[in-house]
Amino acid sequence: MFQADLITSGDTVTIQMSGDLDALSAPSFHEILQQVATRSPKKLCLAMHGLSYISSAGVRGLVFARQKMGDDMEVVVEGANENVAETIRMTGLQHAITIRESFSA
Amino acid sequence: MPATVASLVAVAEFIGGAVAVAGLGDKDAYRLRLAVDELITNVITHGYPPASAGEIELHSSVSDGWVLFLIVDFGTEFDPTSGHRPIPVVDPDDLPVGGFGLSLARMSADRLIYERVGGLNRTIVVVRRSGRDLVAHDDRRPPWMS
Repeated sequence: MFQADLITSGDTVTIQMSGDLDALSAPSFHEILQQVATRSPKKLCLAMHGLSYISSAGVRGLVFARQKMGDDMEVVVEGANENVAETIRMTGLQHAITIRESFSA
Repeated sequence: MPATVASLVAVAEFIGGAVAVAGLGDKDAYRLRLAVDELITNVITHGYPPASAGEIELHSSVSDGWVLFLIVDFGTEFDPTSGHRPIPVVDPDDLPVGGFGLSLARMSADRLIYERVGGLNRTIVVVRRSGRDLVAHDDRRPPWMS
């Protein structure tokens, strides 16, 4: 089951994610991203150390975050496991967002 | 099973069972799930008219070191193996919000076979034990980065 918790600290918004992000859970992730967009943070941190799976439906959320929240906002993926990070890289999105292997919030 | 996203939970459990019997490692299991998940999601999203009661069948054949899944649907004729739909290498602002799914399925599966039989779409996915990465992507650095 997918779970996402929103944490705001200064100009940074962190979404702590766990479970599976697929077509079933993607709408709730998208809803959370819409909430983030209203806060206009300078940095969005996607803490994925608890995320076990991501499909293209989840990657679409990352594209949305990158495109809709402005060029001034940095999007960082932290703590993704090897398979999740590889899936994101397969789409070429690693050139638009920062992917860090270890969690350091 | 019903052609709805709620069925993806059962699909994941079904795949997990096959993976255990075949003795696939973590990377191969992930590739298998990604391929089957994306193909089934595509049928759910595009195969049937909205709000219709479409059905999808999922069959497996498992042996030591490999898994074969047969996905059968009764929806619109569609060959997921036809044409090349590479993920475009473009500026991130121009990335399409959709269209990744079938590309991910093709890169993840070791074999992908499609046939149209008697009004049915039959798609076969094979993943073997290899431990390979999903795909080499070093050569997909977009022009705007150079």
